[in-house]
Amino acid sequence: MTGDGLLTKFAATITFDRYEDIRAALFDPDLSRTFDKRSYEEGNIRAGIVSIQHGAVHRARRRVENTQFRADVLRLYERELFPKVMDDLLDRLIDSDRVDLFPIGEMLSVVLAARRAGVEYDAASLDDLRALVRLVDAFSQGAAILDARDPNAVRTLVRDAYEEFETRFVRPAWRRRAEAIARLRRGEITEGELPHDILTVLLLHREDPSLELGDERRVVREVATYLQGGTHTSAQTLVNALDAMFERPDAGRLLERVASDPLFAQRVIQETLRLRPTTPKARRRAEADTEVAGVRIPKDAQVVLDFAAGNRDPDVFGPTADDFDPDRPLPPNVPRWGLSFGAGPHQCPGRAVGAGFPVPAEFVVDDDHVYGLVALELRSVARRGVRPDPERAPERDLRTARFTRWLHYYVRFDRSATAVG
Amino acid sequence: MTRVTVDPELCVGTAECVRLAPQAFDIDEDRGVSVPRPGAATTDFDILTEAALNCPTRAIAVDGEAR
Repeated sequence: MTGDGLLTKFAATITFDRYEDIRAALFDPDLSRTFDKRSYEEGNIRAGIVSIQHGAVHRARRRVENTQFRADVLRLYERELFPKVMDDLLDRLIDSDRVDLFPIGEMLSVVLAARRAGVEYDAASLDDLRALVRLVDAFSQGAAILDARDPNAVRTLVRDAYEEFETRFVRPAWRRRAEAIARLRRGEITEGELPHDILTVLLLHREDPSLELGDERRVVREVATYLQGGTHTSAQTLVNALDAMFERPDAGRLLERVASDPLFAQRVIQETLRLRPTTPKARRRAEADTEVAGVRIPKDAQVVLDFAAGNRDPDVFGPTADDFDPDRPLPPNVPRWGLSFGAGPHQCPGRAVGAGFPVPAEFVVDDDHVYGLVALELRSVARRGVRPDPERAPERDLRTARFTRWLHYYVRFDRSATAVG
Repeated sequence: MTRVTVDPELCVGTAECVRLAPQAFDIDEDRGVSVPRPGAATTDFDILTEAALNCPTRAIAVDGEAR
């Protein structure tokens, strides 16, 4: 790897492509996401964000931020907040019988991602939502910069996006939350009366030196990370799920099952995540000599974790691992999404927001179950009679080498279909 | 007798253990970490093992034997 501010020399490059080996690597404390010192510590567009922290700072940050992903919060979003928001937005956005579904998926996801991140916006304003989606697109390119075809252009784009994001969406929210925290400290309100979002908990705990949040721009980048993470994967997965079903000869039957059975819709989403991870490969840097799955890894080696291959490991997912089969049986303790949310300390904190709780083969839904927002979105568009648009082919996102990303996905809707049920 | 511990230095408070074994674990909200509940020692060993396996930071230790 050379140029573009990336580290030019690794002691070695080692690739893992088997499920269990990748899991072992993800749990190894000597393999860090802070693998590229120059890119990640000197003017890096993602400097200091939780995703690339390692060790004690990472753990401290996650303890504070994970409070926003508790099961009771997930249920509140899924059962009370999201259904109405989703149906209202779909009614407004599906304004003809042929639409581009990808930006609609982004708009659906950004509403709640922005709320969870803690930015101020008008949920009824399509202008605000479109602006947030545009910023998410920039942040997503930044998150995938190691696979970008033009990294310098991405850096410029992301820096400009941070400026706009901070001024338009974060600063108004910051002021309001700072006032609320001041009232808490004066004893005028309780902690339960504070807003429940990432920005609030960051500001509430910001003076804790273990969080390393003294730099205000770092707070802005952290909030942007959660906005992006909560939007992009969900929108891509919604479209990928439909694309995977449309490829099958029994697509119509699958869509009927999705429309009528939320648990099947959830299995479709989780199977889609397995076969089409939004991050097909991840990389780590060895902070010290270590060993994974019998392979010696020298300090400063680059370790490539091929999630897409590990998710098709026949030793785990069986001889039909390459097939799209939402009903496939699974070994115990293997999530249907495979490695697509990572594992170990850096496991995606929002995995249950988008994909819900794990659904093993014999799973029976209980009162506490969370289906995940993308399954609800998929079910809702299935009920509205979604089908491919034979006259307009979907367009992949060619700005990145990641094969699972779309820019446009044109579909048609049967406008006589019901959205209620 | 089963002995269950959570290393507070490693735990990041995902509460995955609480979801899998609510009778055995709780979140100490002041510290943002999981702690064993009094009922942990008598919780089904397989459930405790599943909680330990699913802990993303390997903070949970379960000592003892399946009954």
